[in-house]
Amino acid sequence: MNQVRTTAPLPAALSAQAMQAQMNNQMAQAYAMGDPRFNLKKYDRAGFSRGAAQMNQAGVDAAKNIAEGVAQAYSGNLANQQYNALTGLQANQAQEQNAQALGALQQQNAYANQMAALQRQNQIMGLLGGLLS
Amino acid sequence: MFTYNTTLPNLPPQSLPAPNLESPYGRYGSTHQDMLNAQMGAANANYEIERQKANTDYALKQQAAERQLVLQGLQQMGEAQQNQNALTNQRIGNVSGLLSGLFR
Repeated sequence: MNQVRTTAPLPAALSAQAMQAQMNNQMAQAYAMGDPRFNLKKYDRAGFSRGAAQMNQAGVDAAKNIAEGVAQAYSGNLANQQYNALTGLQANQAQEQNAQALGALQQQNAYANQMAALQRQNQIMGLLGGLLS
Repeated sequence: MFTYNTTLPNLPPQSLPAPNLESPYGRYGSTHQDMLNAQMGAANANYEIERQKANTDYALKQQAAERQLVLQGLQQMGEAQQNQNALTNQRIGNVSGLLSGLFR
């Protein structure tokens, strides 16, 4: 059996450490993919020397890879922040809803008990009235 | 604060340890291993994020299910109390009727 505390706060969703690690690793990946030397090799042709055109094209490819990788890292971080915010909101809303439901139930019970007590009182008053008449 | 013991199983998603592979194709040069490291590092970090999301989603759903069970239980207890009240009042009514009849 698990002990449950219905109003226990949820643990923090995504840890800041994991989010930072994802950011760092994606940035590192972007820079690795954006190394012009890595991008130059695919333009090598057997029997032809490398020229300015290949170097230029490799530089363009590298820049594109870096830009796309960095954009992906930042988008990922934004998505994580959004997930944390929305999860926190959802958890708070659920907690508030639960508290309201418990309060309503308590109110309903108190009302029902009072009505029953009133009914008993009426019956006894009726009986006494009958006896004394 | 409401505390109770639940019999719901507590089985959060089981995640695997993140891999950290050495390339079996080392003869293709250090660039190959560098690229593998970079991509695998990013993939592992992504995996860790997804793992934490899965655990959080599970915790949210579990808490919602348990709260619902608690609420249902409390509602049934309230209804039982009201039924008991109704029976007590009925008994009082019966005794009143009897006494009225006797002393008429």
